[in-house]
Amino acid sequence: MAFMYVTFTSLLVGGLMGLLQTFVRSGKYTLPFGIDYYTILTVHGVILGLVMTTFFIIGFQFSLMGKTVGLTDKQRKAAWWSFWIMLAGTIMASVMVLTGQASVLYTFYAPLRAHPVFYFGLALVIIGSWIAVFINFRQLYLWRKANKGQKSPLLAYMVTINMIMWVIASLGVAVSVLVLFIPWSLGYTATINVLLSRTLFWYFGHPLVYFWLLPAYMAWYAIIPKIIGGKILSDSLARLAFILLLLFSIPVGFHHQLTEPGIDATWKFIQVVLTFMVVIPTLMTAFSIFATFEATGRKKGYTTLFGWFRKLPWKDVRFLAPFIGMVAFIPGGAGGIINASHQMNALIHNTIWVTGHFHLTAAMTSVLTFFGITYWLVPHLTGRRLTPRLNKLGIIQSLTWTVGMLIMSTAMHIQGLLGGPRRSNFSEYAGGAQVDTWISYQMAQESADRFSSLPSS
Amino acid sequence: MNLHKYEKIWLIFGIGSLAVFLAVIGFAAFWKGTHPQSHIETIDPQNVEAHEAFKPENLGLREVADGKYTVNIIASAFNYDLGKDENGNRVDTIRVPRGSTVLFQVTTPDVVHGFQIAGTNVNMMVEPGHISRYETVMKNNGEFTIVCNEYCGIGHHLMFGKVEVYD
Amino acid sequence: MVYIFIQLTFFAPRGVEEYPIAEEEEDAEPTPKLLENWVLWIAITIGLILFAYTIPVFEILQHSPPGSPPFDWPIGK
Repeated sequence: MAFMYVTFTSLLVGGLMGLLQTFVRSGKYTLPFGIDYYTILTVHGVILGLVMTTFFIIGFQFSLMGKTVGLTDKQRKAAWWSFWIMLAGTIMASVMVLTGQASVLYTFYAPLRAHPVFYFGLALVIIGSWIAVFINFRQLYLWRKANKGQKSPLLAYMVTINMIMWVIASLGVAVSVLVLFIPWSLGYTATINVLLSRTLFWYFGHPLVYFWLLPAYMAWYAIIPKIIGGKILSDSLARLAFILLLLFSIPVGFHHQLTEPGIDATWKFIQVVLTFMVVIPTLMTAFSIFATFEATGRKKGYTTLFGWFRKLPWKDVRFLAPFIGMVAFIPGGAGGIINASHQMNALIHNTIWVTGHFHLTAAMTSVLTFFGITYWLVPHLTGRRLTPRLNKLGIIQSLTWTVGMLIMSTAMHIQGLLGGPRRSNFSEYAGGAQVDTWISYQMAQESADRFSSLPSS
Repeated sequence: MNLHKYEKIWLIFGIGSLAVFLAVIGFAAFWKGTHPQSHIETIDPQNVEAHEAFKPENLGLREVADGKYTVNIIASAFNYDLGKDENGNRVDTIRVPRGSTVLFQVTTPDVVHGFQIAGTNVNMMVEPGHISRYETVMKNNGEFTIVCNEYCGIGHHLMFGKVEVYD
Repeated sequence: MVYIFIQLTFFAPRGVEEYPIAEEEEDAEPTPKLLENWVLWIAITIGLILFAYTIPVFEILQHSPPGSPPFDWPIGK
């Protein structure tokens, strides 16, 4: 539960920051008190991209493990340690960001230097998460010892895969922060290898986005069937999909670095091929989900071609929110294929197209699924009920979020194709017709953001 | 473990299109030579002038052969140095005739920058210690904005230039 | 959302909300044991990572330029 408090406090703060950003970007407002646009952008990225998601996921995964394989008192105590360490790290990093000492955005590319405390904070968050990882491993280990020869529960299996991926991937960023950044920011080493630090970051950065996605997959595979009154379609295929996601999540970081000097093009291409392998488990997932919907509908006796589809529990927010997330992942995934393409990447690299892409995948697919989970998980934990009134409010919230995100993300995609850059304050650049076309899309994003952040705050 | 018949069809179709897609990308990359910018040449970021291309007098546009141009640029926070004109004034627009082949060479003495000529395929990261190069044919006339598309500090959004392609 | 969260946490009526974990079909075929061979899958993962990263990282280290000193002023410090 404690993880949930942090999640939603950060949602509030992060959402406000996002709103402010688009105001400023469209050139209609100026920030008060001399606060810098990029400070706010860093807050929005760190709070929503790192804090909110990570706390939610670790909390959710603890609850899944607790339900399926059990949590001992000793493990619960250790879990609190993990929580407090992560929280301390988060607070350290946030204070530095808020005081303008670390306006380096959430990618913290060298050689821009943030305050050392910022890097220490990041390191603590990672270390705290490792404690959670090992608790989860231990939980499964104890369960397997007690239940020799049985297959582990599906959800526990999925959590373990996600945590294996996390621990292998975060080694990269841990090395980068502890070996490269901290000594350099304190002045013990005079210089830093920029390309190496970026490579280590993206070795971690891509698995990070799968770390946000896999909990959504967990819910789609093993929780949604229950909500719609059906059964898991195929246990083994679900596991196979997770294995494939593990294999092809990490050796793919170069597709974020396609336009960089100093990396051989052949190796970039090899990682592009590995990146695309993720299409296979994704297609498997898409099939499973819709097959589950249909099988459930048919069992209930709907025989027409699409009758089962109309009868899905559209009025249940626990279903609706994740469902919208699934649909958003269709254009989201397709956009991802464009991003990772060896050549097409040059068209959209670092344009606001990319921002549009991850607002579809992270803010729609993952976060809406997380909201869907919240609607039953929070009352379950607090011993309360999701009343019909709150359910209705939840539906309104999901739909408003969807409409807002859709308008904003579409505008971002178009502006990106026209060449508008991401992470930039309002600028008319040299003026001219090309830039004028960008500004109208900027306006659309602003109004959409104002609209969609209403339900979130 | 059995796959459902429809799932088999779906996956064969999916993996098939994936294979076609990768074949197209591979063909473009290795037969046509269309790679993203991957130039491997290092430079001392604290002394970029030591490199021939980035001496102050060599910055900006130079015609190296008929219809072939080289543009040497130093990207620094928060400005693209496109050289000086005859009168010693800062150049803010690169002007080339349509159909010319232009090689852009960019480096930076300070932090990471982006270099994108919006509306073209020129889009590269510029990192201290490395030289970024991309050669392109300017096929369409018009004005193209050079934008810094990687965050480089508080003045990041004020960092731009212009390329003008004329008939 | 935050409003709903607060409602669900402190004010919603007491009760038991189910924890929806789906079950398998009764006649589902057994899951292959191979899928739970952790050592195998972790080894393949690490193998793939080493394949994709060893040589390029080695090249990055070998061709590394003089390093970069820290920059504070561009972010307004």
